[in-house]
Amino acid sequence: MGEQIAQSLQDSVGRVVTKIVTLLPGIAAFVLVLLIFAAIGAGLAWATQRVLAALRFDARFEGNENLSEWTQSPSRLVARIVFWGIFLLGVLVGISAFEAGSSDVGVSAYVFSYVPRVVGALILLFAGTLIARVLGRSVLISGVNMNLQYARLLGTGVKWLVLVLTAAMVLDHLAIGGRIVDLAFGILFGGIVFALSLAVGLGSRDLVTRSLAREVGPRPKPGPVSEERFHHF
Amino acid sequence: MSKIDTEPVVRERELVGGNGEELEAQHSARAAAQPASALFAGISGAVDAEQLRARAATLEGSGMLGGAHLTLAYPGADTERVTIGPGVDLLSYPLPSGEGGASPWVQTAAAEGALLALSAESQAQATVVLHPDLAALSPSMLMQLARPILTEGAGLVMAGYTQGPFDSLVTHSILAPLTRALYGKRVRYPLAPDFALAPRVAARLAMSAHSGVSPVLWPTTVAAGLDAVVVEAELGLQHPAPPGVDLSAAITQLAGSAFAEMEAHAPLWQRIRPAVQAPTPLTSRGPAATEAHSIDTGPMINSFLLGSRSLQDVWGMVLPPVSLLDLKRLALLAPDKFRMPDELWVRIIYDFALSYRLRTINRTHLLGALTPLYLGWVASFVNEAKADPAFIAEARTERLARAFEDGKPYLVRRWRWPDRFNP
Repeated sequence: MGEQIAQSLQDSVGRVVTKIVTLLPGIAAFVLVLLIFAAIGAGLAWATQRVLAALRFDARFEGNENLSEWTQSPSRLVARIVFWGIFLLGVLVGISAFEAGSSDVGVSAYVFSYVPRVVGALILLFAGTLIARVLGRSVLISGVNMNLQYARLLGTGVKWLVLVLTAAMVLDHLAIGGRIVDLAFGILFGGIVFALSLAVGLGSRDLVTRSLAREVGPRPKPGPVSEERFHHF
Repeated sequence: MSKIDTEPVVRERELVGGNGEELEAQHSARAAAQPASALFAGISGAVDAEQLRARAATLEGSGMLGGAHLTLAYPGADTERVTIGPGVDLLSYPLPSGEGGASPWVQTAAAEGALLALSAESQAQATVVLHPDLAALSPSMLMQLARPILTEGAGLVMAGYTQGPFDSLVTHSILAPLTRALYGKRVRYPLAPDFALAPRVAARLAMSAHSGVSPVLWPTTVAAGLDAVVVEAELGLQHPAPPGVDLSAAITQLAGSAFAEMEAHAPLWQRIRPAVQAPTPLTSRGPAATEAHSIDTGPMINSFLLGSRSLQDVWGMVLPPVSLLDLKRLALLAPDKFRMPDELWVRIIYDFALSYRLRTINRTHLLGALTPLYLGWVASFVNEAKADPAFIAEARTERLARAFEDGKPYLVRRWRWPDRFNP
């Protein structure tokens, strides 16, 4: 009995070690390729930034206010995109190298087919976050200038509505979560809308009451118009 | 009429070596020797044509134009020049169709641009722009505006108005002191709808209208750029406030336009130092304590407090920590003790201008976040008037303007080195 256990343990350890030894060249190739591409990416990003600086690229985007929310230097943003693009390419090549050095087949095909989804999801995430931030702040400032006491709540609510919508779209695009995401999104989105409706409804209760009273009740007689004592313009 | 920028006149007096009366006599003689002056006056908005004709006939009959030939332009469909008399012609121009919902200032600026183009064609010696209510279309006021240009060599004459102590508060709290500190011109109404221009200033302002830098025209900035003499003429009238204007939208428009001008003329205003000039005579906006007691500052303070609670994140991106701390202290004050120090208000305006330039956040958001702060300033201004029976609004705004001038080195420093540590 003891011998059998020891034998099976030896066999399983042997198999794992053999598997690791088989994978090692692939992993080494993957890391090497990644390092090479990272170095190429860093070089290209540096060159891109220098070229864009020479072309006064940042000055051309001075008029774009929403972009300034993200970066003070669009040329640096482009350089970062170049670096991470090359790095991503390195990951793909590294996976191919890993596949070539191991007995597993189909890994690179699966990853390659997934890349467009990842790119699309990243774009969605970028746009969604930007829209959420701009929209949330717009609502907040407009609410404050309209003297709405719940302006902050309204702004935060709108921002999270867009963020939740974005997250659901990103997960859906990546095909992660399946029906759970749809369900969770529906519950969360509906919950936020309901909470906002309650907050606005309760906050505006007096306003609605006065408005209805004006519509239903007797019309007040026009009194003397109080002259405004100050003018902003 | 008060001379706003007296330096060039003083220089001229020194050159001729005479006193003021001699100079005036020389000016009169020079004016008399010249052929009849061509005066161009334009109405910057829709008017009743019949009322305008009646006023034009009065001008013709008054004989107060001193032999100057007047072309009076007004918005209309006729294209032919109508002669009212030997001294006055009427000319209509198509009113530029502004975008839907454009503010009154933008509409006025579009009309002013069209008028300046017409004026350039007429080769007038002085161009006068008038408010569409025609209150300033009288021989005396017309000449009050045009005379410094025709006879005294002024480049720009801005109208002054008789107003209450709490009128035109955006102008007195932001636009006028900012213009004075930046461009060294003491003008109480930098966006006055009545003003007169010398040909070279008119030509430059017409170029400015087409440049698209700002949707609103700033004659004082243009005159400062040309180093022209700027004079203020007290007309003793008051135009009605534009109706139905949303405060936040208007502040966004006006302050945004002023900041855009700052950005466009940064090299100019950075080298201008506040001129040492005689104090502006207190011609209007007198004692205010009685009127102040009828103003409820509660809603304004509440707006400020709401902003203080909700907009800390936005203000934190624009204002330095010391200003944020001062604002937090303000928020803790009792309503009757609510006072915003001038230095704080000046720093707020300068830091907002800087953020506008640096695009720290979306510009519409930035300017929208200024409204609660402005209402805080108004509440503080009214509270001061309530507390002090001898409160004179004009003297108070003069003190504020000096604070803007004193704070200018801070602006210049931050403008040049925005990344430096600023506690």
